[in-house]
Amino acid sequence: MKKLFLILLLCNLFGLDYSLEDMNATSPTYEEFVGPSYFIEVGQKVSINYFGWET
Amino acid sequence: MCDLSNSGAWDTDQAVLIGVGKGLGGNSGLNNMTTSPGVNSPFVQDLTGNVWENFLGDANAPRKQIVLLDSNLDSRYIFQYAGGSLNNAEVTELLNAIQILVDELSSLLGDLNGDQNLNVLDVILLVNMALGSLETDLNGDMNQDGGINVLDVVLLVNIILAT
Repeated sequence: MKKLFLILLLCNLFGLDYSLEDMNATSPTYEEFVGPSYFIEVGQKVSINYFGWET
Repeated sequence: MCDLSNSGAWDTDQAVLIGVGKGLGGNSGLNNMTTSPGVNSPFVQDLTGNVWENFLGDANAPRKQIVLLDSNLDSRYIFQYAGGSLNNAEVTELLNAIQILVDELSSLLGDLNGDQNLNVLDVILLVNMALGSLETDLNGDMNQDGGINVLDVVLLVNIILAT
């Protein structure tokens, strides 16, 4: 129970984030490690995280 | 087919689209993002599934979900689509949600009368909110503790005096 509480607390403290390499060669941040916090730091307020791919 | 093109649908200085693919399937998603007109958005691959699990609650959660995060990295809206692409109503819903969030986050903290300035008029409004004479506007919650009280008034006054 304490472990679960700690996990929930940490999630709440740091929010949802990731830092992964941009694979899109036409993107301005190609090969950089990006994620929501990366774009907040450069002044963008909202990240639209699209989970999906075509098969 | 996924339509991830922007075509001026939202202000790219305020909101950024990040495509998140998982495993080998991400390669097709990447192709889609690079070939759709106007799309230069970053695309990342979540090979471990950790991002999917953190955002969607399950590493095997259905694809075609969109999560809007605010500048506190809090999830503010989750869209889940069953179809092959977004229909017009879903696109409208998504764009509205993005715009509402951008507008909300663009408001100047403490600017309670909406004149884009911080001055004594805002202090007066904030004092009245702290006293309960006016309905609470959390844009006056200067210390972001979830309420309006004298601490917020002190912070606002200090900001005004420092500018």
